[in-house]
Amino acid sequence: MKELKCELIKPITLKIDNKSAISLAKNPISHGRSKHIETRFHFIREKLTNGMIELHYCPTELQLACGFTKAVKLDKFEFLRKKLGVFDVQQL
Amino acid sequence: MSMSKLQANTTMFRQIVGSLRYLCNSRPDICYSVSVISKFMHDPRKSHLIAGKRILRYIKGTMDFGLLFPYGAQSEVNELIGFSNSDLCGDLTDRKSTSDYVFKFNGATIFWCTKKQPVTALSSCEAEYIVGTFATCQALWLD
Repeated sequence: MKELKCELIKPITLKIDNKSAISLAKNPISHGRSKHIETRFHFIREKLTNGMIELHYCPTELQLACGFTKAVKLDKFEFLRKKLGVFDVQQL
Repeated sequence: MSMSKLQANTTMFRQIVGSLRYLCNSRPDICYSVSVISKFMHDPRKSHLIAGKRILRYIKGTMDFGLLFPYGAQSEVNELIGFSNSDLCGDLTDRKSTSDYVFKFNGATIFWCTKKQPVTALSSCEAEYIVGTFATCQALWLD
């Protein structure tokens, strides 16, 4: 984006629909249940402390990426499709 | 013999999946369904071919659909928002989760990805945490 002469506002927002994942990333403490997570996945913690990214909770209904992990019902699918910006050219 | 046992035309199935994969680059809505059928590239059965044809039928019905990049009504600041999600144990055979993330730049979808995670996550929290890391890497690259 910098090459495109397009400055982004920092930090970049990342929306996750799991609160415990957010708290795990925000607290740099290691405890029993998170011990087995590979060290390379703690990269997100580092970037969060650096202020490069920001994590926000996002309820599942508003989670855009929802339709990418599972098959969703027709009305939900159409809603997500609209949210993603896929439109019928004829109807615009 | 049931349909799930019958061998499908492997070459044709692979050609369909290949073409659909290409189409995924401009149509985020079919991304997930294509990723599901492309897991059976090695030894496709009749039921997989039927699923592939179902996607082709959907595309025929939504031929005029495309990604919209809204013009005007933009603010001064350029904002990049990422959405990340995962399903715990989406693949029942190897118990690996699917990670996916979408990036929106000033309201236009510019990047999306659906991928099976390289490691087995034990909890949904861990699965989401791993996706978060992948999405962070992507965000830093986009920056």
